[in-house]
Amino acid sequence: MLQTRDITKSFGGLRAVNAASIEVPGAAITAVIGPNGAGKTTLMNIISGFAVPDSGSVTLDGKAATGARPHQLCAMGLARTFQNLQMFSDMSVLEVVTTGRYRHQRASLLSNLLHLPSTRAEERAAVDNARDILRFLGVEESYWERRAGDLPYGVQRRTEIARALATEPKYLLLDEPAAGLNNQETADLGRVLRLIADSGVAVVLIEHDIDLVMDVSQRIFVLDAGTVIADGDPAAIRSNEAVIAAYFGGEE
Amino acid sequence: MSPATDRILTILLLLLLPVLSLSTGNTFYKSMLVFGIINAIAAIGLCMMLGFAGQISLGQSAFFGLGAYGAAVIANRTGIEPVLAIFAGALIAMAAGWLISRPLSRLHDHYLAMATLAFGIILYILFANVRSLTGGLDPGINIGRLTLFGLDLSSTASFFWAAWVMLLLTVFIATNVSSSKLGRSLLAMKMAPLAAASVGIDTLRAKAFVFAIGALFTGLAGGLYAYYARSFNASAFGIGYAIELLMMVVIGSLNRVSGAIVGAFIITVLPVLFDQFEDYKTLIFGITMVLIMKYMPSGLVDAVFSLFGRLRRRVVG
Repeated sequence: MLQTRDITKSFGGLRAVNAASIEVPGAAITAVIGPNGAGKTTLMNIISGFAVPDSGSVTLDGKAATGARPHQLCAMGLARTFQNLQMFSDMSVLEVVTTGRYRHQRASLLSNLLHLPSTRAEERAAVDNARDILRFLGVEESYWERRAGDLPYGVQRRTEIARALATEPKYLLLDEPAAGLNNQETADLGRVLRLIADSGVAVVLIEHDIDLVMDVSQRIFVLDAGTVIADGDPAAIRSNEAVIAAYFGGEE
Repeated sequence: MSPATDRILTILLLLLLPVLSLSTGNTFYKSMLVFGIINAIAAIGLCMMLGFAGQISLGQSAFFGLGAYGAAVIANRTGIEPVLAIFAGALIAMAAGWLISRPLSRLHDHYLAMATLAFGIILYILFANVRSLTGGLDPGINIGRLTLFGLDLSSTASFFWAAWVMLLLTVFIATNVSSSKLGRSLLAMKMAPLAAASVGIDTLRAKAFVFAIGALFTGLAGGLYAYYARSFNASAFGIGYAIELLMMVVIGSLNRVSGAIVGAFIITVLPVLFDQFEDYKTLIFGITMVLIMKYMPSGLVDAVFSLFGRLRRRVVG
């Protein structure tokens, strides 16, 4: 279980996140939605260690994770993707995903510097693992040796998810993974998200594409002006008065 | 340039050097080879920092100086094996690189360039003024001959082999770094630091590592320089040398070891080919660097290779 409790974060006079509490169970898809500026990405950055909250706490499987640095959270089983792609552009797709194996490569510094057999074996294993993940996510093999920065947006998105999965996370945070994808790619993404959740990973989905969210999520938290105004399953959220007023702008 | 091309080119370059050395009886040419190798080792240190990890350093002359003075002072005061003195000097430079990485870790690009430049200037001032240790600008410092188990290696012909073995060692380790998880973590930090942290890379440690290893190799080159020059003063460790090292890496290939070697030899030989080069050095380096950074951001050798690649594709396809 990933939990945040009363997270508050202000930038200058603006309270971006206000006493937000969410909880994410394992092996399911939990969505965080809300209008622009609702504080979703700030909350995400706090959970993943890229920002420190003014108050409140984050716990991962009962362990305190507030203020831990990103690489420490990675070791605790948290991985994420970024709203504006953070791609290792000059690497090949395979190298990008192999980089995700970093924390599982435990050969010593000396072994790496001297390229000892332990390092070589570990490198082969890391590359094999990266191949498996790319296959699992349906990234076509013809892309694997290509420079990641040159590839279509949808492929880069999936490469980014593959890189995160390569760390073997228990919790996978996806910050607007459907942004910039066409309808076909979004449908593919939905299938991929279900596959990931079915494999036992807790997926946290921050997304604007409401159809995708309603389609794949088991539970949804709605943020408005930094505050959680509702949570529940898709049906409950769809009929929630406060959500309709805040999020759908009273149009429905 | 692909890693495979880099590896083949590197091996060819390393094999070419002894051929050149053996095929000339001219001591001056041989000494150019020795200086070329010393510069290549120092440039590989910078190549790892700038090319592998995106950490610019305009203070490499300080590490070069620490390696040289470290070796000289330790050899003069303790009388240990010269090779051990060289390694000790390199370790001192490494410690300095590691120490400055922390305070510099929040700086990027031109801020990092300014801070490392300041570090280089401060160390130069120290080299020139702590005369009890370094001899300053005058009289400078002297060091004994390079020997190994009593074997005299101080003649240019035999010094070549000592320097060449050190270059092999440097290339071996630099190549291993670039082809392992270490190299990937540095590259990841260079291209997308947030994503690097999110896959478990401690970017502070990665920066400390690359500053340490970059300083280690540049310091190793400094120790070799000390034993080759045998008598030197602080003027060898001014900012001018740091800029020359940057030129070597930029002319060669920003992130390939072979490029650093090619760049080092070009910058070493140029002043010899052109009599008046010294006078216009700063001007020529400045203009070249601007042009290369603007039109060939991955380096000159790299640009030539990609041009060949394109031509070949056009002919074949």
